[in-house]
Amino acid sequence: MSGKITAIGVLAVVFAGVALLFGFTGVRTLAAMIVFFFFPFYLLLGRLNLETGERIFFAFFIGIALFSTLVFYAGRLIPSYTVSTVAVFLGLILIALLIRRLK
Amino acid sequence: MNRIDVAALTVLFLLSFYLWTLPFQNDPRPFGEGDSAWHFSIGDYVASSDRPVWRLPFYVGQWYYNFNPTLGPNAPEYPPPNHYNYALMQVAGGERFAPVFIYRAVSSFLGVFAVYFLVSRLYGTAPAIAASAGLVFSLREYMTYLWGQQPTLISVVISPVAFYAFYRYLDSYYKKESRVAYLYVTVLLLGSQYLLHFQGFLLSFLSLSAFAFLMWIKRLRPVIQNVNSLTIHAVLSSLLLMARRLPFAGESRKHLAVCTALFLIISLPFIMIYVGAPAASGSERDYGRIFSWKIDHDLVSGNYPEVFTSFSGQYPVILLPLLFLGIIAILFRRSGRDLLMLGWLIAMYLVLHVDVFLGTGPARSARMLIAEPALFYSLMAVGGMFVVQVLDSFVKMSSKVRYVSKFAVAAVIVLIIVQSNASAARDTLSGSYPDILRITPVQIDASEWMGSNLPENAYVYYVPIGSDFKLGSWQYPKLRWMLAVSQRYVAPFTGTFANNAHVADSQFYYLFDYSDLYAFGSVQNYLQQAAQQKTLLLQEFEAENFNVSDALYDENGIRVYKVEN
Repeated sequence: MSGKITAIGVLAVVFAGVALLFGFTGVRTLAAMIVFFFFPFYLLLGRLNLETGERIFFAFFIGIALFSTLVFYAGRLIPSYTVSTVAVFLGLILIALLIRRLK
Repeated sequence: MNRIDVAALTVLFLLSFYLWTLPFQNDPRPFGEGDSAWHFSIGDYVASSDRPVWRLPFYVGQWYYNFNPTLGPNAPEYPPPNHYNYALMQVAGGERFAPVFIYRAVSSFLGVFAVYFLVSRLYGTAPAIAASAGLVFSLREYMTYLWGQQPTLISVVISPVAFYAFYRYLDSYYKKESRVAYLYVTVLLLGSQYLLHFQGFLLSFLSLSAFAFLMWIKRLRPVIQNVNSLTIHAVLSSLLLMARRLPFAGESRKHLAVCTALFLIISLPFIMIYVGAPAASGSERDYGRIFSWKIDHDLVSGNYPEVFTSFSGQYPVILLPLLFLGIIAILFRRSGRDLLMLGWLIAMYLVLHVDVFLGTGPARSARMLIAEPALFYSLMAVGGMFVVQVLDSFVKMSSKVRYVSKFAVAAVIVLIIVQSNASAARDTLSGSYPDILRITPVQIDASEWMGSNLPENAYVYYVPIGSDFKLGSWQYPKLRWMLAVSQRYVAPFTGTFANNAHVADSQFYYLFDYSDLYAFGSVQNYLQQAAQQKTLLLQEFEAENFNVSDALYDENGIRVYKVEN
């Protein structure tokens, strides 16, 4: 619980700093990095028995390249970049949830 | 992660974010060299057309036409993630420039966190703070970011995370409690680096290979000590034992096979992007460099400023003894974490000498200097902690005093770094590409007009190449930014019109841009006379070839003509 409160506190401070400099555009951009690059891969790494700190770093650094590569492949089937992005995001979340269920 | 880690990471992020976004906090216009515009333009096209691209659009494909003869004209020159990430930022951020530049800044200073992560896990929080603080103000990193060579930078700076994952695997393997999850994570991280830029992957691959070799050698010691005769049987059984201590022997072989397959799945689809590209041209190999760490600036003076290649330009010289102490510490202790650092040091040496070993030319080696600060600042931090360790061996410290001493040493290192590098970093970043050195509002207007009024395959010539009409080399990135903003191909006129299969249906245009010349020529400055002369020469050239009344666009000293075939 305290970990979650800390995480929320840190995110609040970081987003406030970004908003101060770049307003809503900055917040949306940083949120996109977290939502698309970090979040799906953080969930996917959930079954690997990693420490939380490790999981956070690994997820972001894997996601920053693999997410868009998957969008690139999805683009072969879906002729819209935006739809491909949403499809890959939802697909990764779905896979992560399925893996969790298979426990 | 403890509370100090969380607080330190938050402060580091806010400080880095403030500092690295200085170039566009007050001036939202795009900046950077030609590379910057090139990378931007691909992601910009993906976002604006909402089309996932397999081939480059006409206006980008003409830039380095047929760069990769194996893949043919308009082939991508990088795997997709860099440019697709730009597109994602534009779509999610809701603007054309700011989100991309925010992403560029953040992804360029990720090395701060990669180093913090590695050093805190291996040596503790205090050295991690010291090492990562150095990277916040790292000249080589922020210069490369400003120039726009962002794919190389991001791929290189995330290496320490891959190092850590592999270290955890190998350490657990030799402790006979193998954690293969870390091996899979390593492969995904290496794949990530490969997709971002090959150079980062190369650095990690060499580092991890050197580390694995050193760990293996360390495990051989008892085997070698037990060889008490040189009979064939004794030698053979020793060799067998040595082979069994290889990090990928025994049960882990099947995981290694799966990991290899996984990496091939990630990498093979894009292999021709790297293999098909022309090899970097090299000069005569200078074998004398083998005995020197640094790259002589004379060899790369056309590519990099002296401050980029010098030690004193990058590091506070006063920290040099700590660097040596750090190296002595890892050689003296040779624990698993120290061997990882040693492997990194060996790999760094190898990538800084690719010109000697592979004949790629010193400019390629100099680019890898961006990987050095992460290693050197980490070693300095290790050296600082070694001082505490040595003191502790003489004057037995209580655990509390030892703990405080480590933070005191880290604080001194941070203060030296801030004192030495912070103001230069702030001044460079806040003063980068001022005023006319970026695409100006009138040039943006002209570019937007071209984007709306010229066909997609229009071929627009800018100021003719050569010193007669140019004020400085800074005009080149401007014309490339006009290309990026207009989404129409804009190139310097070299004297002849382009002639390739893809321009057969193109209409040629000519763009005369006096706006910068007028700006310099109308007020007293060191370029005033040159600007006035070049204005006259350009006007002569224009009058010889075009009639002003035929201009399709004539605003703010910029005219666009259609070239009659």
